Amino acid sequence: MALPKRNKYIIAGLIILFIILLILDIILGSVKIPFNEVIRILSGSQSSNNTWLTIINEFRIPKAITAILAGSSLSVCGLLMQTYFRNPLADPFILGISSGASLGVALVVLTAGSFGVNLYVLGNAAGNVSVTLAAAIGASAVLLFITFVARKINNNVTLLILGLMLGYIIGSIENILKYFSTMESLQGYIIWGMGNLGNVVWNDLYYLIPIIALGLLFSFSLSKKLNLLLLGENYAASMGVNIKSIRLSIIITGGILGGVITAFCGPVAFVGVAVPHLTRNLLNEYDHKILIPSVALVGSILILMCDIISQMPGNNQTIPISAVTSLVGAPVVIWIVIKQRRIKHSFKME
Amino acid sequence: MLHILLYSILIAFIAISCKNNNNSGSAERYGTQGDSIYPEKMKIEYSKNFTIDYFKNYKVISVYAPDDKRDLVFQYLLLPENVETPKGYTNAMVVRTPVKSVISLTSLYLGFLDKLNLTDKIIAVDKKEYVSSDKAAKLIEEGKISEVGESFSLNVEKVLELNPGLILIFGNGNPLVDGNPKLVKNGIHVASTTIHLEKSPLARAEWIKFVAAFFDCEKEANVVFNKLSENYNKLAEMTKKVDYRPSVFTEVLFGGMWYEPGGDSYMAKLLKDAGASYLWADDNSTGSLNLTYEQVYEKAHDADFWVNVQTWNKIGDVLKNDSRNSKFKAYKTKNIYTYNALVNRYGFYEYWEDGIINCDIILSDLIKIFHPELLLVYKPVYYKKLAD
Repeated sequence: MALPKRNKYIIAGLIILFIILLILDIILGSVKIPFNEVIRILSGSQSSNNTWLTIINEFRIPKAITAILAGSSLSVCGLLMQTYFRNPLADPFILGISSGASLGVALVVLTAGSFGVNLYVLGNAAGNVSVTLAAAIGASAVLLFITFVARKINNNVTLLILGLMLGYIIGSIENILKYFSTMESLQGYIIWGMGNLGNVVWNDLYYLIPIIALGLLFSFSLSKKLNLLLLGENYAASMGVNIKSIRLSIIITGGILGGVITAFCGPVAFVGVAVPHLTRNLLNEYDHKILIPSVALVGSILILMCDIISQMPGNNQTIPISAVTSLVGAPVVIWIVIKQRRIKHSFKME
Repeated sequence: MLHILLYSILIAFIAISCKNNNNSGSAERYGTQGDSIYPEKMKIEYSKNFTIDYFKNYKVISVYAPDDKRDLVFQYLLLPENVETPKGYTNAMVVRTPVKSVISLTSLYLGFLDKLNLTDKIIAVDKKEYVSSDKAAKLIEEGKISEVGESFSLNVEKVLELNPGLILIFGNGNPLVDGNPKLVKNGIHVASTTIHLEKSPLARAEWIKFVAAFFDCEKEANVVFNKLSENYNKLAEMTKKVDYRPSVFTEVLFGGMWYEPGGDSYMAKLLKDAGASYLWADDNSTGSLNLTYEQVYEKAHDADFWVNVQTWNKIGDVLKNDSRNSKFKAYKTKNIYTYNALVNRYGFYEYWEDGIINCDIILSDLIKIFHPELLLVYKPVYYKKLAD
């Protein structure tokens, strides 16, 4: 793949930015740790302060890794959905996958009392075994349903509407659950809904890293077919792409990338829809071989940045990650709407 | 003459309304003092957030903002039936006392009502599961106490049908803001407290006087509260001279945040009175501190004790909550305590119901944890160590 010189510089710049942000994310936190101590800990030598060592190793590094995983998988999931539906506003939420995950969590957290589940034990919703499991089951259930329907329906707009409707149905079930739940469970659920990167611990990462890595690699392997899909399903079919199989591959990969992250971090908004556009416009590139890794890179940069911002105010409080990503994401979507012509161009809609 | 007769009837009525009120001499006392129809008054000693002023034939409860400015938030004008409303209280809620029935929309008040022997005045609660006292539970089984739902999902029609004399809620102290506006508009008396924002356990417990005022149970409230404060202060005196104050932190990670009570909160005061050194004692906020895990870990990793761990029961729950909890010294030494030893028939913690009015027992529990040598034979009631 021949990259234009301009894009080579841009990607090199992005990689440098990524590394700087990664280090910054580890250095900055609610507890002040001197820069040289962080470097000493990161380089593997002993720190003078065991507490700082634990904070860096057990809190900040897992959180930074989670940020990268979440950023890359949500963005790639968004890209897959946008390409597949040829719709610039598609994202991981579009097929109801995130809503499925939310419903799973709602069932566990909001009905905690009635089933004798101990809310403060499963407590911090995100990152907890039962909650993660519930989210994964919820996401997979929706995914299975969509996959099943996708085999019957060969029109992706219908599928899109179906996903949206499913989201509404799930949303109202959640509302009913919310209405009848106790204050505490409601608080727990609402906080889960704001997203959190900090609850993922090393043990979770041992599963999370390989799953996400496999999902990303598999997406990358679909690049050529995705490029053809951009030109329309009929065109892709005429070029020898098996539409049914690529559709299943996209739905399953997207579902896993979006569902797993939602399970661990809660629904992190807007990254999935904003990052693919940001990347396409930055690189002016539509080849998925380049787009997929770049989108993953830009997504990681964005979430790292958001995580740093979420730590900012007074160093004493943190803002929920989803609020920050939306603050960054929404302007991007506004910008997209204003630059409509360019979108049409990238989706060959004219 | 007619007036005195009327007042005598009123006072007799007040006396009947409070079961244990041995008030036979009231009328006479009124006659000799000549200043008020209320033979016994309640003085507010610990809480700065409300006052009760007694006048000739009415009393006024004023609720103040729980901050330094102490702006007047709301007033209740309490007076017997047939007494004319005095001038100058245009914004006050006029309540004819004693009220005949009450709905408590939080378990905070159930302990008060129980201690005042007013359980039979309760006609509804938010959720029956929150009720601990046997007497109230029996009334629920008999269908004499109904459920009306928690304040945000309140069954308003049911409440209107029950037509309670008083509804007790809590919030910012203004029932027009804290409560359901429809109820107040329909003439239902809603009273709101700022009990959860008090700075000391005794100030919290003192709101029993607020509740008692609506039932004209001054005498009972004084007996209960004086005994409580005497006990509490005696216990707190014991820990003043301890040599070592073990360090302590509280609460658990919840939704990615750790809500430690502020250094000026009642919990901080309670821990101090129990002879412990609370790690955020220097802070001067009344509410809770929203901390990150990092911040708590930095300060508390070496702490001797970890208390108030919400609903945890077993040591295993500590790591289920977050595997990083194993890094705390208190986990390694297993010095983790919870207040959920007393569980009612529905599995809810009695601590939340009568803990406020039993703060002397809670203080004893904590002293036993931090300084067992001070209370050799005592067995904790609310608190227990996490089981292995």
